[in-house]
Amino acid sequence: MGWRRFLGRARADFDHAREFHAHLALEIDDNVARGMSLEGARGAALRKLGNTTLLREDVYQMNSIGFFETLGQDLRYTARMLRKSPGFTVTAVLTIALGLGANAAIFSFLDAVLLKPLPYPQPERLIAVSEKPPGFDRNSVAPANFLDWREGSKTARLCASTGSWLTMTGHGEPQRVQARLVSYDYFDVLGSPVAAGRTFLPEEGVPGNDRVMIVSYRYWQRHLGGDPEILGKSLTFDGASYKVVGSLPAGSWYDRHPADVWLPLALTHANASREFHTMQVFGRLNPGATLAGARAELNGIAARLAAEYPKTNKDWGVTIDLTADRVVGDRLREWLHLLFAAVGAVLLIACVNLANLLLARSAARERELWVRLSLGAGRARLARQFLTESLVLSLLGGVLGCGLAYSLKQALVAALPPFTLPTQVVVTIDLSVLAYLFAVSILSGILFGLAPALAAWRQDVASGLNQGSRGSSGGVSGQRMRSALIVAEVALSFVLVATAGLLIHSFMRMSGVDTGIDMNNILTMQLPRAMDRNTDPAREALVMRQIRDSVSALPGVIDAAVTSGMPMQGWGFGMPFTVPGHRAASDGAGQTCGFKIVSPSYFHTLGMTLRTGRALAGTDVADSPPVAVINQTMAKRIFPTGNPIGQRVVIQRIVTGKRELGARIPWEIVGVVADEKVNGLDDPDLPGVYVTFDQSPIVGVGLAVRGRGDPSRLTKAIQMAIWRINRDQAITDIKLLEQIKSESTAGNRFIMLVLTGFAGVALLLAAIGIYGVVSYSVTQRTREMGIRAALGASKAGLLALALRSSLRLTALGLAAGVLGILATRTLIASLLFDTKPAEPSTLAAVAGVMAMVALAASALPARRAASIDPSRALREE
Amino acid sequence: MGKRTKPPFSGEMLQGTLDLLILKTLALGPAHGQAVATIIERGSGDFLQVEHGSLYPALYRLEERGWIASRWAVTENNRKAKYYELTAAGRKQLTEQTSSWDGLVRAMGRILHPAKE
Repeated sequence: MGWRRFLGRARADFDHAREFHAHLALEIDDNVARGMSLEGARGAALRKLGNTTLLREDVYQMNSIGFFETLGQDLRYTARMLRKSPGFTVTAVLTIALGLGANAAIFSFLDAVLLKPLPYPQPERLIAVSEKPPGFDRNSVAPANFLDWREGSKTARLCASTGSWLTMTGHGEPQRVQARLVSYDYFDVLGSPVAAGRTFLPEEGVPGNDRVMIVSYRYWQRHLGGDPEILGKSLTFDGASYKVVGSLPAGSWYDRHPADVWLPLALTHANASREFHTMQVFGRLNPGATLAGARAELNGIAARLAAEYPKTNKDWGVTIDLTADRVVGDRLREWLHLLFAAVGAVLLIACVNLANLLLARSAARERELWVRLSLGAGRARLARQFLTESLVLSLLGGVLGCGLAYSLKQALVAALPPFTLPTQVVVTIDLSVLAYLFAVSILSGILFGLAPALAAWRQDVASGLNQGSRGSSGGVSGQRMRSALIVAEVALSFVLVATAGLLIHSFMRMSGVDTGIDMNNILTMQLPRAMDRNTDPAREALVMRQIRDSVSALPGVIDAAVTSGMPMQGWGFGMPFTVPGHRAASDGAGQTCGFKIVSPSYFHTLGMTLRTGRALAGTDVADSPPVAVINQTMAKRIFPTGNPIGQRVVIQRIVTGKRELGARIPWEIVGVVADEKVNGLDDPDLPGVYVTFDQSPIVGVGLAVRGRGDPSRLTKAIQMAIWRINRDQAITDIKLLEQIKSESTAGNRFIMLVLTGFAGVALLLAAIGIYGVVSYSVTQRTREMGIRAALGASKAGLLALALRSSLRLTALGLAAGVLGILATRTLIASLLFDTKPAEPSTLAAVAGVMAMVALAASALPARRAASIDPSRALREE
Repeated sequence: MGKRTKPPFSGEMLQGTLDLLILKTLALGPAHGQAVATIIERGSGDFLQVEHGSLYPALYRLEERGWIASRWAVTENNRKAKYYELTAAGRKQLTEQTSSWDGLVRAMGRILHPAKE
């Protein structure tokens, strides 16, 4: 079918009309010639020629691009219909826009986090390499092992990196600078080059040559004033001078990385530890190499190392993943899936609502349908008309949803707790999100247009005319479809609201969990210090003791304590341990405990409860016998029956100022303290050991201060007290312990709030849906109600009558919803804290709320029905 | 495309038949639509009735294919009418379709009246 003919067909049609006219004239001539009267000749000719208009239409159709042709008609008709009922149009478009917008917003996260490739060339060749200690799968890597892997591997080029910090002094208050120590070829292996200058040279990966740095664009702009001449300049940190050799691209993933500067990792066999597992190792597979090949090779090397260094490497293997699979944590993945399922449900509910709205409307349009059907319109054509209408609605909703998606995405990104998303991820509403939005718009248009289209398809002219003005959609089958939709809607909203309820329940359980600590009035801060300097342990211990003493002597301070890990932020160290004479813990491998280095004042400052024995004391110093306080979990696990006091736990020393372990020494257990929540509120309690700072001095600790009343007002005084002792000490992360607690649950709270928002929308939509269906059926039954009222039915009786069916449907929906929750419980079980995935109390509460909402939504129209004036109702028909 | 353009006896052969008859009629000389219909009807001894609902779509189809051409002219009765005539391509088409029609008729005959062989 040619476009030219399509376009020229108006002229052609005129031509045809003339031709038929001529035909008629010729036919009449012939008939007259055969002896007919003019009248008779004319009649015969007309009969023979038939309906010329129809013929013209047929020919016209021949020349048309039928689908688009009728599409144009349908669209014009749709536009007219929608303009005629703006209330309906606005409701429908808003509903669908809500569903689509929420969907696209969450999809943009899903797309950015899970679907888009990492911003490196050939990301599928990048691997993440971890050590596999006995008992679990992935552990950071000991530098010496990394060196051996790197030298032995022919399948991949391996790189290591680790976090560190520097202190910039001499410019006002000492500033902490986050540094990333990386193998010299890190940038090349990633394939993520510098913007200016150069990357590191091989010889810079050697101690002594490593005073060079590459700065991130963010740090360069914010802290170096965007100095255009920065390359080649030297910056001084911790008294050493670093030459800037490169800068990283603006707006790249580096800018979202916590590190400000990148330094070469100066690692040799001479300075590499096999005991301290501190490195993140990744690599790029060599051409031709496979993941399986790399796994086999590195595990072979690990086995050789295990044989060579049984003390440190016995039973340690290697786990290799694709980097892409490790960038996104399981938790984030689960949350994203949950949110995506939630917005999917919201969209479905919106579709169900619209299907109901459209069904009710098509019932109101039955007359129009019969007329069109009896005039010869095809059923398919009518069904298509309805689909066109719903598609127009959903596409309009999609356009509006686009804006909604953008704002929602912006809001979510802004509200997201920091570092929730991997640094490589940028969430944008881009072409793929728009394509998704478009596809989902079409799909949902078809979905909610299906019900009315089917109804139109099944429309029966004869029965329609027989039913008079009552309408077949008001009849049994239409009613049934609407009821089924309401049940589905209630069930879906129940699942969503119940999930939100469970998350709220879980969050409350988590927030209310006993931390083992008196959280009130505690201010915390970090006192970072650079590693790898020639630290004198005794001096370090002295300085920290002075700092603690001077802070705790401040007016308004009850006590202060130094610690290697703040509550809910980890132990500081995890150490293998043995207990002589204890079978389970004597074998060396497989038993690790938390190792927290604190000042003796720690337990008092944080208000922890001593169970037995004594706390650490100021007399537990460098030259006195090493002592430890263990936590209750350790006491229960290792000494389930006996008395731990006086027992010894053998743990290696930590070499001050270095990432290295020293001699294996016995620590005498002097006390047992109640568990504190060490790794966040939802972490299970693990065995842990507390030792004094004097007996195990390290660099870089935190300071916790308990004040009388709000301790934030002490901040300045505390800083001054610290700087009186050490002028160059950087003080960072000053925050209340309460704040650490709320930050540790920020992710959970975020998801809970977002999901509750979606659940609220679902509930609202369900309420609107119920309201719509009840008010429709009440309108349909006006006459019946009128008769009942005339026959003496009481107002209450009528109200009950009107309410009965909606309450029955709600109950059915809730029952289906409970089944839905039971079916999906495995999905959310792992996301809940101390909450059963089908917690009866929560489900009951949610069902109660939904029943109330359903009652309220049906009560409005039902009251209208009950207060009907019989004489008016009967006269209406 | 349009569903209602189907001739009363639907089927490829019948439609093709009308096309062939039109070509044959026009081989005798140019004619307008009404004349084509009359010639076919008379020629078949009024056995074939040409539905105008089929005739004109068929004419336009043939014209579209370039087998016939049309122009407006005046009839002997001094009426304006659209005349159709065979093009060279149409003449070739007529020969081809005639021989394939003959082949079809022979083949049908052999099957329907095997005794004659």
